[in-house]
Amino acid sequence: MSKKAIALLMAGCMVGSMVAPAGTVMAQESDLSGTKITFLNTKTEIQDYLEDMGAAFKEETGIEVEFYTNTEENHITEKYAAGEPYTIMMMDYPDVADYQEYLYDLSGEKWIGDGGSQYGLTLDGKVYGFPFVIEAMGLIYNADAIEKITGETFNWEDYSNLEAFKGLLDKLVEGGMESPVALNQDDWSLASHVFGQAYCAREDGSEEASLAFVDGLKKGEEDLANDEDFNALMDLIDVYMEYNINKDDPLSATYDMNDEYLKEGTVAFWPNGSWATDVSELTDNVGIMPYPMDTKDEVNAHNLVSGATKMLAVDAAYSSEDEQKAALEFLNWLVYSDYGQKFMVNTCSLITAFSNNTQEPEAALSASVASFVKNGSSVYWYQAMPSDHNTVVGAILQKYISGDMDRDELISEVSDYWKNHE
Amino acid sequence: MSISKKSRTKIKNTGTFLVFAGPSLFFFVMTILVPLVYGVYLTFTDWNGISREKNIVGLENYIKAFGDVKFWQSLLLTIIFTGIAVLLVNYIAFHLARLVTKGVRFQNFYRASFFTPNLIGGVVLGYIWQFIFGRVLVAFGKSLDIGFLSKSWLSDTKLAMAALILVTVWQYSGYMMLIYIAGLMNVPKELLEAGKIDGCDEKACRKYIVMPMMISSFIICIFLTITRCFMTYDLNFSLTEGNPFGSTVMASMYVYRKAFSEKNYGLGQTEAILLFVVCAFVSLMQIYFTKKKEVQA
Repeated sequence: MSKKAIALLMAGCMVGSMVAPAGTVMAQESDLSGTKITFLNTKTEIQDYLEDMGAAFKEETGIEVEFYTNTEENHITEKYAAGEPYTIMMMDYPDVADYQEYLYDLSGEKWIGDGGSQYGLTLDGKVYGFPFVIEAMGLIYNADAIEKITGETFNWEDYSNLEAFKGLLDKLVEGGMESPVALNQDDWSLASHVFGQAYCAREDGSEEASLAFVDGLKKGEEDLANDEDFNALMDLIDVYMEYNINKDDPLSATYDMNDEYLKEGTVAFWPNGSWATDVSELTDNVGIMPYPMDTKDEVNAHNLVSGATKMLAVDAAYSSEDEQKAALEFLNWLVYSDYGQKFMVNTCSLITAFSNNTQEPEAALSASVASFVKNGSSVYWYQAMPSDHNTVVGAILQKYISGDMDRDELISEVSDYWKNHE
Repeated sequence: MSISKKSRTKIKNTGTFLVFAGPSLFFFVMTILVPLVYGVYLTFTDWNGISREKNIVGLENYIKAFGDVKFWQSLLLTIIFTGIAVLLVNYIAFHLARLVTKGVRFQNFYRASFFTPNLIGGVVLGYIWQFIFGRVLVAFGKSLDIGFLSKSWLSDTKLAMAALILVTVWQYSGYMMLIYIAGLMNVPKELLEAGKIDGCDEKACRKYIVMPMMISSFIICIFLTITRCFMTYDLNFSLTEGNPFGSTVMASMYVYRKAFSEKNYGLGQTEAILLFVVCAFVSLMQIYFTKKKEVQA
């Protein structure tokens, strides 16, 4: 045999061996056992728990789930560009719309009826996002620190308007807590969470009210200077600034230091959200409350801004049919299996969107949020901001909190920003 | 018909060339040329970086890029940053190199320590300095009552820029120093000796022998610092993240945000190409003018 023939034969063998396994997978259509799917996790803190859960899931179903964690901004884009996306991807709210053309339509799933349609992400009448976790944004408080000074039990409902809140802050200052508020300076925190309240806590706090407001901003029809709800928020931000522990140099604040300040009770309040679960490391006497501002209809006097922030989406463009089926089974298992329910709420301290789940979260902050969600005391969370919202509006807010800009200038710049996104 | 001798040598030469240069040529084409050409193609599309659809839009992106005031502002900022940083880095590096080739005690130790910052990656370095500027210096400033240190440099627009330059200089000086050391060591001893015999003092030796012999080192160092400073991203990202309020967003970061955060890949890519052109122009001009001064021993 000539050399050429041997080479051809060898090449043939290699090609054959590469094709063969793919063929065998295709053959097992009914049984998903042995199927391998991938999962992109963007909540790094739960990666270890996910892997444990994956092992339990494999034991029951034979489906293997590989968990990857990566929080880089354009990681999913890279994977799609390479033609090998994850089967299940944990996405932030705006991402789902960006990738819509690649995603599986989940509208026919069983969990849709148990909270999936309410909290899931619907585009063009179809559900593309499985609501993995509900988060809330508001004012985190350390009740221990407050009670130590006032000597009374802290009940946030007594301080849900600006006057009462300011009175409490003054009392805390008198009692020796020099600056009772820690205000972040990170653009995402200022733009999406602090200023983001402006898009949510409006009128009755419904989705319609919020969308109508943003729509008005885009059309340039909103008169922010004379808008009661908007000014209520700005008045509150002014109070945050006045009592800010970073007041001397507001832009030098760091997220981790603010976390530390609240945890240790150096400050009593930290405008942030339910993801800051480690504030209960030293005491369980912490919680989250709505922003104490004087909105027109007092919607935030008892309702917290909350919504699903992390969505699970299934790839429909590059994954095989078996992989897609396995992914759907996995989502179902998360909602309906005992393990899945306990995993979400107890192991990861997440607040679940599914009404069939009766577990109670243990982490203090999560429990505080869950009590709002369970009672239906929520304000719609507007999350569909344009992708440059954090950098542009964040920069405006940074100028405002450092005193380089007054309210009129802020209003004109914010209005201009939205008008450019018509 | 047999192949003529001439063309046979030609084939043989091509074969030899491929054996030696082939592998690196392959990787050069795959990692530099193909992406460059594909990148240029993308500038004529309205791709958002995600979708399967790419529509050809002609020169629209270029028109938009030329009208994008914020892009030109960030480019101007980058040019200022590069100008100052390149001068400082090379000035300091050259003098450090002279210092550690003079035969001072522990000079090898000094060489190693000046070079060390370059071994720390840009991102880590940025976080370290963020801590220094934000906490350490402020603590010093407050306890010793030094006005300009009692506030974080990173929260002032001008000082944040200064901080970026300072860290860049600190990072690159050691690296450029190594190249200058090599240059200094290569100045032929016989020339210096001949100069001394002819009555040159140390200053004249430096002016008429050392500096002209060092031109090639200057070309390399200035080229490296210009291109690196123009493309600075890691340090910009980890030290200031463009803050305070977007005043330190340099060209690379602006382009990245345009393409990936704002999901406007076509325009971002166009601005990246413009950045490339400006950077290439500046560094080539630099090489052209300094090359003229080069001498042979």
